[in-house]
Amino acid sequence: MSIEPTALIETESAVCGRNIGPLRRVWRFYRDGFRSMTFGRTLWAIILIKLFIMFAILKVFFFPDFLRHKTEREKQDFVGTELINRGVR
Amino acid sequence: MEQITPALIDWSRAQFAMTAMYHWLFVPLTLGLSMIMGIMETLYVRTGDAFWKKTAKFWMKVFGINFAVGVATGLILEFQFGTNWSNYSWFVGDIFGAPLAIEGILAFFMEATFIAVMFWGWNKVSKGFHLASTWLTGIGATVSAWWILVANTWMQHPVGMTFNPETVRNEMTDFFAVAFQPMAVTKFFHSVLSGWVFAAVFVIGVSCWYLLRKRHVKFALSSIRIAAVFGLVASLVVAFTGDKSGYEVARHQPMKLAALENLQEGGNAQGLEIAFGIKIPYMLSLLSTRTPDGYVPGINNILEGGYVQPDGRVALSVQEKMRRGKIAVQALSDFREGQALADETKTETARDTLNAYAEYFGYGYVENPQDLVPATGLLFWSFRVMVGLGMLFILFFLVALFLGYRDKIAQSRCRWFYYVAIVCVPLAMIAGQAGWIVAEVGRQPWAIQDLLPVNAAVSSLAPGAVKTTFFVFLVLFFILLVAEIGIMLKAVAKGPEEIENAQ
Repeated sequence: MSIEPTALIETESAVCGRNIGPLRRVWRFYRDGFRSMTFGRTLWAIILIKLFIMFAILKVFFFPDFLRHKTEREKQDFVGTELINRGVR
Repeated sequence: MEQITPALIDWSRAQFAMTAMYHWLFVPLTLGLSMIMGIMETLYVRTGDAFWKKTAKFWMKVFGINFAVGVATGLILEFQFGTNWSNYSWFVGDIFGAPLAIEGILAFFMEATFIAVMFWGWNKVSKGFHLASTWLTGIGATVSAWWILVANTWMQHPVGMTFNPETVRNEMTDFFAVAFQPMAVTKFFHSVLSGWVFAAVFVIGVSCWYLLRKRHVKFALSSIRIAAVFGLVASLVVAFTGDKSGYEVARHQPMKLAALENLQEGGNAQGLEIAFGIKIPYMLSLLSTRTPDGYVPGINNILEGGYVQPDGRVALSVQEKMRRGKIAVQALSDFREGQALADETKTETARDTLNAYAEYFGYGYVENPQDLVPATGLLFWSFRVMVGLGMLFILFFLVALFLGYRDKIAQSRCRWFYYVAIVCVPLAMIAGQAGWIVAEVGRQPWAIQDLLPVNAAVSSLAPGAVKTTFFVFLVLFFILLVAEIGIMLKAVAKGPEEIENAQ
C-alpha cells in the first residue's frame, strides 16, 4: 500500500499549474472539504453549537473545577481532610 | 462523619450514569461502523469495483452523522470528575490521568487527522492512502477505547500502584500492570466487539429496510453479507470474552457476581438461574470456578466471610474489613498529624499501619454492611437482557448468513426477517446499555473497588445544584438525540446513490 501524504490536493496543484507549500496544501484540502459538504454542514453546526454549550455555558456556570484554584499543597490538605472527616468513627 | 446526604450521592450518580449511557449510545456504532466501512473500502481497492466505493461511502456518511453527534459527549464526564467527584479525581492521581492523557493525545488526534482524509480525500489522495486513512480512523477510535477501558478496569480492580499519604494520591508503580492486566484485556475485547455486534445489526437492519421497500437491492444484499459474517465473528468473541469476564468478576468482585445472580446463600455446585427459578445445574460453579462443584459465595456469605477465596485466603467478614478500614483512615489522620507536628516516629508508625491496612481503606467509610450490596433486581434482569440478546444475535447472524448467501433474503417470503432485523437495531442498543449497567451498577457502592466508596468520592455540593444540571443534561441530550435520529433517518431515506449525487 503506497502512502503519499504529498498527494494531498494534488489535483488542485496540477490545475493551478504551480507549486504550493505543504501547509497551504493542507489548508486548501480542509477548505475545499468544508466547501464541498452538503448535509455535513448541518453536522458541523451541531458540533459547534454543542461545543459552545459545553465549554461556554456548562463548564463555566455549572461545572467549576472544585480544586482548580488551589495549590498542590492546598489540594492535598483539602482532600486529606475530607477523607479523614468522612471516615466512620 | 461529614454530612454527605444520600440525595447528593444519588443525583451525582444519576447524572454520571445518564452522561455515560448517552455517550455509550454512539461509541459502539462508531467502533463497529469504522471496521465495516474499512472492509468495504478494502474490497473496492482490491477489486476496483466502483460499487464497493459507493457502498463504503454510504456507511461512511452514517458513521459521520453518528460521530458528529457523539463526539465530545465524553468530555462532559471529565467535567463531572472535576466538579462532582473531586475527591475521587485527586485520589486516583496519575493512574487515571495517564491512560486518559494517552487517549487524548495519541488516539484522538490520530482519529481526528485521518477522518478528514477519509471524508474529503476521495480523488485527492491515492487509493492506498485513502484506504489507510479509513482504517486508521477506526484504529484511532479503537485505541481510544482501549485507554478508557484500562482506566475503567483499574476502578474495578486497582493494581500497579501504591497510596502516598503525603499527597493523598495513588501513584503508579507498574504501568504494564495497569495497562495490560488480564481484566483490562478481556474488558477491551468484550466492550469493543459488542460495539461491532451493534454496528453489524444496524447495517443489516438498515439494509433490510431497503429490501422491504425494494430499493438498493444489490447494495442491501452485499451489506447484509458482510455485516452477517462480521457480526457473527464478533458476537462469538463477545460470548467467549463474556465467559472470561464472568470468571474474573468471580475472582475479584464476588459481590457483583452474587448480585447479578441474586444469590443470597451460596455453596458448592451452584446452578445458573435463567429466569423465573429455572436453573441450569452446576453452571454457575462451572462459569465462575471452572469446576462443576466449585464454591460460589452468596451475598450473605460475602458479608459474613469465612469461606476460602480463589486465591486460597479465607475471606474476612465485612465487619472485620470495616474495622480494618477504620484503622487505615485513622492511620492517614495520624500520619498527617505526625507531619504537622514534625513527629517522625508518629509519622512512620502511621505510614506502616496505613500500608498494612491499605487494601481495606474504603471500608473505613462503610456505615452498614448492607450498604455494600448493589441493586440486585436491576442487575439480575440487566444481566439476563444482555446475555439473552447476545445469544439472540448469534442466531440472528446465522440466519442472515444462511438467507443472505443463498439470495433467499431478497425474496418476498423473507419479509418476516426484514421486520426482525429492524426490531433488532434498538434491541442491540438495549443490550449495550444493559452491559454498562452490569459493569457499573454491579460495582456500587465502590467508585474504586475496596478503596473508595461513592460517599467518600463525591464532592460536597448542594444536591439541588446537581439535580439542576441533571435536568439540563437531560434536555440537551434529548435534543441531540432527536437531531441525530432525524439526520440519520434522512440520510438512510435518501439512500446510497442520492447521497453520493448530493456530494
